[in-house]
Amino acid sequence: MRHYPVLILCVLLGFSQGCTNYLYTGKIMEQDSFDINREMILYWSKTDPLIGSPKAGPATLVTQCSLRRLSFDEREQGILFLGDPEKDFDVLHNTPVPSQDHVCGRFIHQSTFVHISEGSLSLTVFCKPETDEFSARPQNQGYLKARKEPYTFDIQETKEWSFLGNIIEAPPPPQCLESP
Amino acid sequence: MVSGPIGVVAEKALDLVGDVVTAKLDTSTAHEIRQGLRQRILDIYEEGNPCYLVAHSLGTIYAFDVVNELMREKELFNRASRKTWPIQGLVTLGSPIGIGLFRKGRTRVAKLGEGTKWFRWINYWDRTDPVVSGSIFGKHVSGYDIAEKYRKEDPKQGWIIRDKPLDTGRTWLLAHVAYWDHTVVGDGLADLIAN
Repeated sequence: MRHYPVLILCVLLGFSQGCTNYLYTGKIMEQDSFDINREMILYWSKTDPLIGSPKAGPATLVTQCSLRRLSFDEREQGILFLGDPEKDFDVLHNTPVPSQDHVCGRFIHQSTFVHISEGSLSLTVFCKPETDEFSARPQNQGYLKARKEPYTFDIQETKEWSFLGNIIEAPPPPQCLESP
Repeated sequence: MVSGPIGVVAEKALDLVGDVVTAKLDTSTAHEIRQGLRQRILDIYEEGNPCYLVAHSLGTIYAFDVVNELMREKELFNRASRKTWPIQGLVTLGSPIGIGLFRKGRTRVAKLGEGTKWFRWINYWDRTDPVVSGSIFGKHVSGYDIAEKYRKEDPKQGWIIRDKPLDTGRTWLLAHVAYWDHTVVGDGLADLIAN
């Protein structure tokens, strides 16, 4: 009898905080900005609570032996990799990235993370990295090589239910066997 | 004195309200916090080390104030040379800066002036974080811009301001304390520091 308040609290917590956590990952082996074959990992998470709307993203693209982490962010115009002046160069238009709104890549046919599920996902990258005196190891700043044609990832979904919500562990970066 | 779980919750709530009042009313304690942060940043700068400022919750308000205060000083933040910058970048997590209560007196960022170098500010926020929305029930925040409201077309502004709506994997108050463990935040910070 005296455990009822605890039970009620647990049920309330479960309803208010309980959710299904998803992790989406995809891997490919492609050339990086320096024409070297690299393993690339794309990942993002989604949380679908018992009460309320689902939320997801952003997606991160990790390149083997690189210090760069590309972020694909959901915006009104779609899911975009926005380039940074000084850090990125638009290869397709042969110009340094002029502003912080410059699109350096995007998800194809997808505009919101919560609606993406397992399967084939295409994305484009138009830029290459630029470095300055503050860049650590300029030779390790590469990411997916810029090109007009999209790259295709086979996205896998992992899901688990959690009472208080959970951060599903992201995949480790691909192992780099080169010495820095 | 109330003991047990209710007492703990009441104590935490009082702490939080006290912190908000301190920050909002610009008390001598708030001034002391800003001075301490400013001095720590300048010490790191004088040691010759680059500094990236990562702030959480109400700490983001102090961080925002101190970065802008330093940027308005003539001898610091020469836009042509990042070596004159005591802070290289700002990362804010679960910031209440979009709430009207804190916008007052913080309507714009300091200009960097003429030049080609950029100061970067990344603002991570979870859509159900009650400190971000200002709603105790953790209202789902839609849209994409909170910090980006500070962007100006003026080329002399010199800031790259990016909002990053982030799924922390948790909801409501637990979302507010989940940023520190999140891989996306770690990856974002690594990317910022590497460049």
